[in-house]
Amino acid sequence: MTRVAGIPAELQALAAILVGSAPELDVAAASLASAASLPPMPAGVAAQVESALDEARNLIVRASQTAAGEGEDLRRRGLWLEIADRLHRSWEAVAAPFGLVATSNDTLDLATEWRVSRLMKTWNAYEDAVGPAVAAEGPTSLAALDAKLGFQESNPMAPARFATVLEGAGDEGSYLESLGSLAGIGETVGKFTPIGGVFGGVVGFIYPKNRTGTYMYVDRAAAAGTTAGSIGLLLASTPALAAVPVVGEVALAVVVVAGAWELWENKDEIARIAVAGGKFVANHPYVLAGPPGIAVHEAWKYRKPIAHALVSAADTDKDLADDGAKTILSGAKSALEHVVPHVHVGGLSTP
Amino acid sequence: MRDLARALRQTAASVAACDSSVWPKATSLTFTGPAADRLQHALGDWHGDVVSAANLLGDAADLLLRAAAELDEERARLARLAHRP
Repeated sequence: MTRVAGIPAELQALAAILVGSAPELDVAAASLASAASLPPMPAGVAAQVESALDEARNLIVRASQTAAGEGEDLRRRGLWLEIADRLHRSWEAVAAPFGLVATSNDTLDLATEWRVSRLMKTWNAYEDAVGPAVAAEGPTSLAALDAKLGFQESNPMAPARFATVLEGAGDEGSYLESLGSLAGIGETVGKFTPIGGVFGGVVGFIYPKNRTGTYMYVDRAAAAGTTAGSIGLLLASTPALAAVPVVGEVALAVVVVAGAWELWENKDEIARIAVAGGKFVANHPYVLAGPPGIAVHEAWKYRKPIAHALVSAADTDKDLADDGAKTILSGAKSALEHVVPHVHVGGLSTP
Repeated sequence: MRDLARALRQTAASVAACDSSVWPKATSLTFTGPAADRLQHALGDWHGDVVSAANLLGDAADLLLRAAAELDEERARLARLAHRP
């Protein structure tokens, strides 16, 4: 994006003034008397005045054209800049929680690993400095105390950190436990995961990685499962939401719409997966041959096995689903059981 | 000629008013990016054209007023000569 000026409103204001000046300049140019209507005047004066009026008129006409053209250009730039800014603001608002989920977990893991490695390194240095004296003359000897004080002097650190190093005594698990604050942050971040999963699932369903064939179906099935699972996780993690009937219905609708879409778009794949999972397709062959409306009707009617088929599909194609999708899909089963309580995941049940 | 001079001054004033409404606003903005130079030049040229036109009209009006004054003076001189005994 090219920022021609800083603030769209200022650009728009300048554009409005500039465009507004064009007709005024046109009036000024028109008002300049032509040579034919000039009053009688001395010959030398007439020539100078005519020349000046011609030149002034040309300048004003050119200024008018410039004002109209550049004013319109500025107006468009201001408009696009405003649109860009609004999109940017919208994206920032939407992207914030996803950024939190996508980056913070990794960042927290890295930060945790780094801090543990630092504690381990400090412990190793402590052992190198103090260990020989302890081994030779005992932990309470003057030599051990000297070595300890020398280590502290050459490795200045906060008393709490030093205590953590000593208490952990080189045990990685103890050091991990000592990083409770990071774990707390991780829990907080985790609360955003279902929200990100819902949005990411919907986006993944509409724009699957693969646009054709079986892979598209698998991508969409995984995305639908991600959405359903995330909604379920959200419901499970926020009991108050479960009290709102619409939420549960929306979660169900996501699965149903996904089922309808996939039934029609991927009849063969649905058949393969459903047949592999049970007798649903064999018992309802018209679903595969009917128009989308029937598919939707049947999808609603047989939403439970469809939901099951979606989860089965996602689980079946583990090699194709990425790690993130699989992680959330692992929660999709329990989520579907939560949203559609009568579905027994792992075996087909008819409505 | 004096009527024309007044008209030219009026036109010059309206042209100058356009410039005074646009130019301070244009110079208060900071233009950056690939289009910045072109925009700055365009607005600068526009300002130059408008100011030049206003100056030309003002100069022409002055010229007309001076010519009218000289003509009045010449007429007065001729009138004095005509009435001289």
